[in-house]
Amino acid sequence: MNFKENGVSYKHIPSKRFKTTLLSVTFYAPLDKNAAANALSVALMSKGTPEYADYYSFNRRLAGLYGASVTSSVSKTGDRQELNISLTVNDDKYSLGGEPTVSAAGQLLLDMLFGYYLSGKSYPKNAVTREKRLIKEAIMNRFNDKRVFARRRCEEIMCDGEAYGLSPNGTVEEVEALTDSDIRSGMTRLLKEAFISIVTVGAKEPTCFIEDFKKLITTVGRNYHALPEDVAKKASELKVTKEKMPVKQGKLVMGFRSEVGENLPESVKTWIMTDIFGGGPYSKLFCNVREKMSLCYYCAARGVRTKGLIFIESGVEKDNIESARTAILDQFQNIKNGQISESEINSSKLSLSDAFRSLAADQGSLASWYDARALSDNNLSPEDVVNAVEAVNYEDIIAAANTYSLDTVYILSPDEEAMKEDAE
Amino acid sequence: MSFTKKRINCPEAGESCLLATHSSGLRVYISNKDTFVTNYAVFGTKYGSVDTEFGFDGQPMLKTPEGIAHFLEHKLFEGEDGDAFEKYSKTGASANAYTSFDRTCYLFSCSDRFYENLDILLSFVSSPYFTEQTVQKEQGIIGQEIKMYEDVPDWRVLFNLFRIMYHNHPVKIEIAGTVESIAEISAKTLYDCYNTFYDPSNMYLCLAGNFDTDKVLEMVDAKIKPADERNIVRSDFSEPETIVESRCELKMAVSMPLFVMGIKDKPADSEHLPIKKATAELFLEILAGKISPLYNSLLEQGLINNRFGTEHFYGNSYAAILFDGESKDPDAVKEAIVSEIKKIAENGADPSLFDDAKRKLYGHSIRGYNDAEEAVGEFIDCYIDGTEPYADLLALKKITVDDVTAFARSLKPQNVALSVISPQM
Repeated sequence: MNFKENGVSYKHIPSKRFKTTLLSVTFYAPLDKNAAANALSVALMSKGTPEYADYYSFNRRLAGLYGASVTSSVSKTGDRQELNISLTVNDDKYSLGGEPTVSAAGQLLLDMLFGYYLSGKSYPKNAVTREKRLIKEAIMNRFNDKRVFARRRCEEIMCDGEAYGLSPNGTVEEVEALTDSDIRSGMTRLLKEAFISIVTVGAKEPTCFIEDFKKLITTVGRNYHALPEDVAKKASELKVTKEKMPVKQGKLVMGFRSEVGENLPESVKTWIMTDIFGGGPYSKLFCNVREKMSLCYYCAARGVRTKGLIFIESGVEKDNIESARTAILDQFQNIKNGQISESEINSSKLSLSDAFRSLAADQGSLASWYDARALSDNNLSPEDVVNAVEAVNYEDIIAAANTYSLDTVYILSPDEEAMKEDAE
Repeated sequence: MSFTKKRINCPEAGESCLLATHSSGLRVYISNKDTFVTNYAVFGTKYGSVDTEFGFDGQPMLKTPEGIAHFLEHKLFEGEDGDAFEKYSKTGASANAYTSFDRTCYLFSCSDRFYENLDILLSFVSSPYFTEQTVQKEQGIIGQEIKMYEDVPDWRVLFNLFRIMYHNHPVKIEIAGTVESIAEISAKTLYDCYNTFYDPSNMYLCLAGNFDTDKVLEMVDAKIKPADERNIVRSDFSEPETIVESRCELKMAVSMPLFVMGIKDKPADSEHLPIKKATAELFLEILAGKISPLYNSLLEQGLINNRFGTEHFYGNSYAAILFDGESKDPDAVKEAIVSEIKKIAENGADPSLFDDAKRKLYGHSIRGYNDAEEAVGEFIDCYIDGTEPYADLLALKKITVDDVTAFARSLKPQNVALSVISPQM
């Protein structure tokens, strides 16, 4: 029953290898000033229904369905905000009394998505207060993990003025200011205007769930707004930001840009190039900067291909920061100059092909894969991309590297004065 | 081939596995299903950070530097004929290793070329190659890793708790050791540890995937050679039942306080472990799981957030239940938990909550068999704990509400410890 119409896409992945069925619903919206309201709306949707309005009774209901689990997440994919609600439930045949679990869980998920919106009811005050607090604490929490903190600081500085530079949950102040009417607007934006990808994975297609979803979304009345394309642009003048904090190990994050933003299958050449640069244990950063030069414990590359961005993240001793920065740039220059061995290319191709094939082992990974395909409007299977990986050659990799230049350097170094004061 | 084989079935979960014991003493656990798309393998030893003092029957005990099991794990990847990662890079497998309190595991997962990968795994773990020069180089890399952990508040808050809960037990030492302790490691000490613990009779090979089981057993038979039969003696740390201190606090660069609260408990022997584990898990769900009144009350009062969690923490001669999270007032969370335990101990666990908790955990146990990695994880636990596969699921069915109440009554308020990390600025 797969379909794609009016900004709503549905795909079922039949698979007998799981004992569970996954029902995944993802909303894609522009990442903008509405991020906080959208995030709060999804948080509330994922924690109750008009029938199970308090979180306690909602959780008791999930436990009764053999511990069906609901997860929600808010993240960014390029310049878009990605908001997901997933429900995983054991298949009917594992019920001790033979009771149907999948259809009951599907009904619960529909009530979570549409119950408050269609009934016109507001969420209970305590639920709104609680969820606002939880989002605010999650935003502040990024400060605790210095690896994540340094990466996000680099993204913010590098993409200042772009959607990708924003936090997917908005700011603490924005969350604090949200009202009931903002929550209703958030739900309206998600259900009426956002791009919605529904993916189900399991032995049996949950047809009742999807038929009822179609009826309910028709009642909502769609007014789909096509999403703007991700913006990829040339590197600007080099920005270097240095900050201090009472930490033992420094962090160095380097952001590279290309004006070529790509989707699969074209982006596999950039994928392989990034992997040879700083992916697996065969990569240039791992073998040279970590192993041979012992400059850092981790040093890895991550690409945001639709936006033409690559970030290098590393944990470095304060005294080694400048040497690590030079060594990382040297390794990238080597790739640009074509100093890539056949064995590096083969290792990367083998590793990426294995990773693509392994996606089918996990329901969540399969759903994410097909969400991304629905969004970029292609229907490639992981196996199709394995074929594209095999076709990439030496020249493609060098050409991909030569479109990238260093744009931003972010350094977080130990604040020795503050640490000394604290010790005293 | 010299294997003693036993098939174990679990109709409730629709699962079945083969347990084959090799003449060398190596235990091989296999879950073979044609629906698996990836193959997952772990070759490991019952040797972790807590095994700092050991010997053989009738010989003097040897004391080794803290962090040596983890150091050995790093060094084993480097062989005389090259690095194991280099070999895996020619097959596309994703490989890794880890060391915890009571185990060291070497693993790979792959969707193709399984037998080549298994050959790499069996070969490099069986071929130690340590020199003073390579040991020195590794001291630099692990030193960086140790420093990285010093900046991770979740890690610091946990080990600070262990230091105030345990008087003698080495569960309180950092798994990677300290920069000073690893400086004492030499090639000789690595060989001493390797020769003691990497004996097939102290090791396990756990596999889940879609492959030819007979071929796997043939490979094991050809590669694994029996060693002299010797009994490893592990130090008895004579850990008292009491805790050292009830509270500790450290300041770090965090946005709000983090805490781990622990209640020291008596460890169970292998025979009683599945029942103990199932009882403790049910107790934690009823006490502070998402279905509990306590969890929801703490959430509404703004005292916990999404990061709150519970754990039954146990191993060779140590056990505790742990509660961790972030809170503006960790002491208030502690008080609320202690008071709720008292309530359950006095009034008995709520039977309707017990039914929901049991149903939830039963469902989660079944779900655990969705993937190869979780199936292998259970096999490793079985080897380390001395239990049989699927014993936990069967134990869960047997627990009654009175067992849970009895567990609550067995916990001692004087054994509650709280570790806090508070914001520096």
